[in-house]
Amino acid sequence: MKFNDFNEKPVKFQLKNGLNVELIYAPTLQTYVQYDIPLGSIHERYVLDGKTYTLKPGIAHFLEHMMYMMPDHDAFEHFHQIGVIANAMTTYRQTTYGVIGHKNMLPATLYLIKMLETASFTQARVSAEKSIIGEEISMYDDEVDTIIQKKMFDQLIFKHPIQHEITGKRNDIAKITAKDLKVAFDHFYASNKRQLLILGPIDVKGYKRALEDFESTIKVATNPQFIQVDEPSHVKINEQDYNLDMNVGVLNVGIKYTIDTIDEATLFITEIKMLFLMRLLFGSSSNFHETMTDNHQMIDGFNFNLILEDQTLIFMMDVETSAPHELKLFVIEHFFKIVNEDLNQDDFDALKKAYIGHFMMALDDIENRLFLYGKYQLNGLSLSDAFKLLDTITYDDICHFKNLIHQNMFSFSHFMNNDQND
Amino acid sequence: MIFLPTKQYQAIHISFYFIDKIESDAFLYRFLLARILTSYTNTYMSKQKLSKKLNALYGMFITNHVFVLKDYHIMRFNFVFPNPVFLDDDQMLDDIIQIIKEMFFDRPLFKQSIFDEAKRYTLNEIRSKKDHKFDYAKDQLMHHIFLDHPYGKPITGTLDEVLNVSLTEIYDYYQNYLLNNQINIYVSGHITDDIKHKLNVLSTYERQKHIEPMMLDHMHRPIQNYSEQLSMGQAYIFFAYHLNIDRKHPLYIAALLANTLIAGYPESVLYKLLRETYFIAYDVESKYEYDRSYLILYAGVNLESKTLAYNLIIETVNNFIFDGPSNERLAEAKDYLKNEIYSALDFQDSMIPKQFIADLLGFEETVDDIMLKIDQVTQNEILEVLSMLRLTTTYTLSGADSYEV
Repeated sequence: MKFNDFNEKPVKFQLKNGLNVELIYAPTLQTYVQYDIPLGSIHERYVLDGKTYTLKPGIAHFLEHMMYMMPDHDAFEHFHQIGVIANAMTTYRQTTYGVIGHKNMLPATLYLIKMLETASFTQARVSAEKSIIGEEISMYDDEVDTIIQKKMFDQLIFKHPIQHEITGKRNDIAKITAKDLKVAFDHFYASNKRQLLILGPIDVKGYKRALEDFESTIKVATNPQFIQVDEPSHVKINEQDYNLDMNVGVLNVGIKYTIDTIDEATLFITEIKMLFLMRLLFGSSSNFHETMTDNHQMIDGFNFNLILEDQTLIFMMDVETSAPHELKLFVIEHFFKIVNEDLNQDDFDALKKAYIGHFMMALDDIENRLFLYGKYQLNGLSLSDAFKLLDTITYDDICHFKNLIHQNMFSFSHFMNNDQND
Repeated sequence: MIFLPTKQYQAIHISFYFIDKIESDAFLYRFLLARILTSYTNTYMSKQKLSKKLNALYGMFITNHVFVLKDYHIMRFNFVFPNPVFLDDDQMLDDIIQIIKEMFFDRPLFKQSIFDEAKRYTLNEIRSKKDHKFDYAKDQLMHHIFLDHPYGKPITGTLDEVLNVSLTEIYDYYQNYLLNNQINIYVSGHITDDIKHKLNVLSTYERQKHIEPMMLDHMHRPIQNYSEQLSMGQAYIFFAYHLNIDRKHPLYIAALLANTLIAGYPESVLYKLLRETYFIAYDVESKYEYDRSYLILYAGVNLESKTLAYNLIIETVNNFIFDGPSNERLAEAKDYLKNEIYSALDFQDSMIPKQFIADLLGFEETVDDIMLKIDQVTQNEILEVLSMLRLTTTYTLSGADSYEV
């Protein structure tokens, strides 16, 4: 099966200010502009020009909020005045700004670049934004899924910045100052890794010309180098009970696995192996799932979640259950069985087909496709590289990988329901 | 059977819609059936066997959505799979067609174990409702607005109904009612002649049925204010305004724009007020539910400011009803709405639902028609829509004064 990143080959070039640009013609109704800054929530320490800097938790996300404040106006307002939609998001590894629309897209793109080269951080604005971000944090904190994930981070992680959450905690953001924001802005918003991706029914030559003519305020691009996090490989707490106000109990299973390389292809393959392994053993087509639901040990299937940042892989799977302690014993027994009937060549082959199919279908969502393309590219991979890597994984790889997982890498959170709490 | 061809996507979507009149006594049956029918087939006799087969079909997945829309109770089953054209797999489509046929038609009595599992799942959905606070709040709001009307009932049925339902009842409902529903089938994706020819065998299952309109009249009640506490860190404040403009009403597009202007986009009056003037909310939105004749405002605010936010929302909306938008704001809202429509059209998931609703409610509009209508909306029409808003219900779900995760 052939796989292309896009139907039309991207036109790639770099501006004098170091911004990497890709223009992709596509016959869509809207034009999609995506500007990626290589600064995310897990970035904590870096070196620039021989000096080491520390970033406060939540600062990447805070900057995302602040960038729309221009010295004399609100950039969001400007985008809407010219008829386009602006949005932004922060992930573990990057901050992404987007503009979508069907008219005025070239002026909107140039304005987006200008906005991302303009810092206007007064203490009064910073204070006001802390209130809004505080409400955003409260909103996530009221979601049961967030609570379950946070507790597992606390059990698995000693110091890796994943534990701070993307927004940072309330007491983290209270410490962020206008000066902190300006330093992070200067060092990352001029990075030579930042990229601008534009996909849509565009006049590629016209866009290229206009972008090359753009008068940038950035004369020299920066090249900050992140310092790897020295996270211990063992888990912090193996098991913990929680008596929260919950009407249905939950078992959350965490695995912490440390990888001794920063090679992106290896990291990607490891991520896929972990997902394959756990889906084969505990997914909806496993004997485990069938038996445990028949025996009323779990109500529906596991929700799987995997985060791999900075050589630390965190795998989590949670399920609603009225007997989290009993179910935990079944999980351990099932994983460490010497001969496990869930791990067989036929089921592996079927699951691999499912992954290939899901990879194809996920890219039908244009925004998602552009985001993944940018994300892999920032990490030195392409979408087609990722697809090829997925295709190379074998059944033996999964069996071998299973042998690398030991019981001391597991951690369990037991959330009791209110009846049990009483 | 409606084909929506497009060469842009690598997936094919096949949607089966089962449509009937709204009867709250049947809510539980239909909710359970959505799960039972998609759990196994005659060839794949367990959830595990079916799941393995779906993996082998390149990860085909089946979603079900059970909902009410205007006069109808609707069960939508969507089958999504990579287009066999890109996989050189000739057998795949035949297997998928067989699964679809066995899933819905000529089924023998359901397996007791599958029925029990669906029942447990439904009980859990009801019992865990308060753990998912925002969903719980939306359900409560609907209940407070519509009281004993079916719109106010939980789509899952009630706890008592689930505890007392039997396998025979469900099977009886399946045979005597569900199979007599109106059934519509839609397909989107890159559909070759060969694919179309094969899928056409499913068209024999389509059925039409006359469904009587349902009466709905709630706007004459005095304003009802409800509040409730759970352990949480925020206050969710909802305002429900009756707005009697349905999909075919000449002011429908103006109503969409009024919704956008009130709290439907980042430059809307409430968003600016609560988020950017008072800094007391992150999430502010409004939704115009044309099928139920309601416009619903929502803000998630900090606990200390809930009374302030409540009063600000009432005062601001009242002022806006009187003043309306400026020409500039209306132009911005028009652009925003157009962008939302164009973006949805770039998204395969929205193709079938959009066409289905147009067919069900009996309107036909091209994109150009809609854009023209948006352009033609005047400030006076917005004022006319705003003058029709009647606040009937407010609901606040909030934490107590102190709360810690």
